[in-house]
Amino acid sequence: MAVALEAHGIGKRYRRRRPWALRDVELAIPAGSITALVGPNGAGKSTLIKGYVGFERPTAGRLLVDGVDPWRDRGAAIRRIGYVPQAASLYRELSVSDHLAMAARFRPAFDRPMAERRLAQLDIPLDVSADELSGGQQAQVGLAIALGTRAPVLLLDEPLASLDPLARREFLHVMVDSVRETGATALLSSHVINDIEQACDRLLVLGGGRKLLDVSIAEARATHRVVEAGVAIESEGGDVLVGRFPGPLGEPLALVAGAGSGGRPATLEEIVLGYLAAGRVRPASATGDVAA
Amino acid sequence: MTRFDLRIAFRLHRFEVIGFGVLVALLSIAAVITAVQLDATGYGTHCYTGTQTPACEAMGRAFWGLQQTQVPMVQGILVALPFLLGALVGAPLVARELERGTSRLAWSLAPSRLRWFVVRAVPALVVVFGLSFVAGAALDRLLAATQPGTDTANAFAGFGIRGVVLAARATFVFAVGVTIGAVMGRMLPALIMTAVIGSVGIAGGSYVHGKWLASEAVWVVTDTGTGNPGDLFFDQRIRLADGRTLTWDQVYEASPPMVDSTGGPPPGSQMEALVVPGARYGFAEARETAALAGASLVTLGIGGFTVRRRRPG
Repeated sequence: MAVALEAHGIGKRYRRRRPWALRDVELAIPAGSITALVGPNGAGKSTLIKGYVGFERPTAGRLLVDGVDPWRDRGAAIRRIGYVPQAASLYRELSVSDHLAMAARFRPAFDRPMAERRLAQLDIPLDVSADELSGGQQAQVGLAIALGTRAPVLLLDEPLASLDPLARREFLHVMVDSVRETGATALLSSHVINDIEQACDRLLVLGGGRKLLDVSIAEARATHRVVEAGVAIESEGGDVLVGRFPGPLGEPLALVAGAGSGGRPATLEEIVLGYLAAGRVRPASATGDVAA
Repeated sequence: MTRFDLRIAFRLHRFEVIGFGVLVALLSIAAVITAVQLDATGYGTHCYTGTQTPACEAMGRAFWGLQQTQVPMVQGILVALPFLLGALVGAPLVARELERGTSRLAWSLAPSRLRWFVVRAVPALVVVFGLSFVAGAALDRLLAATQPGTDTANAFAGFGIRGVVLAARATFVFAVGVTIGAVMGRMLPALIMTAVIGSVGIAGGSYVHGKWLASEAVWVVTDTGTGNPGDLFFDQRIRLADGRTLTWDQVYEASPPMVDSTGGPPPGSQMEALVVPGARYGFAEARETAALAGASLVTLGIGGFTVRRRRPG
């Protein structure tokens, strides 16, 4: 299996006496996958993505983009990356067309006709300046630029955060279509679990700067169940309590991992909530009763 | 650097370029018109070297009237404009990209941030130097009109606030602004720091160059006490008939005082002035310009290094 994004013992601390933003993270994201990067604020999601783009220097360990260390050879790493930041980051003085031309100037392999086609499909005019576009349109321009680079790796740092549901849906649709078409690898950081479920095939959960879960979404679904707090877990089935979290009505629930048969299959949102709860209240790895 | 790069640079800075371009053009025209008006008064060396004629008095009134009203206004604004231009174009150049977050897009696309920096900085530098040079040339012309009888191409009058030195100083302020903006990443603080550091840098450089020029000064015999018109004057002394040299304090403190009946130097003595001859102006101008160009390049180099290493904001 080819690996597009790697992290080897990665750690990042912004100041010496401050807590670690990332700690001992090991990753191997397979090429061609669309991985959802999930975690609460301050989990280290943006730090990880910025590390891959060469915007942050790791304090410890090593990151690799398609085999290239972005801090040692940033130029080579950047050529392999299409990046969509949280805010669209467009120049308000420039038109959409200027942005595409600028991207082509920096990246000779930039596929301008493809980017223009995608924007035309979304009825985004090329001759208007960026500040005349809505937030959703600006995000689409950012995505069109990133996709136009034809980079093998696409890094999306919470691009959906400020978009309305329709704009989010359109954004993901364009992204997934393009990634599937080109065989690129995408790492999408987001808080919106429903969106992730539609678009991604892998799930990476970070909490407190550490990796909490890194599996395919299918595997995550197959191996996690939700039980009501107070129900005894079948220890002979190898079930492991992951974490407790409140249900939609405030009822206490617990996420368990393993091949047991109690409870019901967990939704992706519950899997994420369970691991985030586990990340918040450590340690949560004991097998046994989950009575509150 | 392509036409596209220049077009983008212009689009990003069109307000500053057009605003300052219009201001420099208008004020340069005003300076030249004022110079022509000064020339047209006819006031010249013949009016203050011989007996004052009624015609000279009239010409003098017109000449000094302009000198006291129009000249300081035009000169003051035109001198300040290049420094403002340097600071207002330089400080936001990188800081604005960092503050608005556009650097995230640009730096994620550009394999070389240094190239991105050069493409951004060079057109702005050319604009700052070009407009400042126009202002400096207009001030050169105005100064020549305010100093009738002086060859201002060989005169230290207005050193640093005219000609190519003015453009070099504005370029230095620009370079300081770019680098401080890259370090601080915020426009307003960068602008304030540019004003402070740029002023200190210019004043410090001027002081050092002044000391350097003083070390090159020579004693010349003079009737006026300050050397020839256009010389850079530093000191004055009296050479007595017996060859001794005294300061004015020593002349007055001598007992009995050595001054003549009018309070002038003792009979048979000569006044000497410590000056850098005006003929050295071109050399001094070229030297300060070269030093400022070097300092600007080094400062921009630090800016480029900062851009390579820093977070995009």
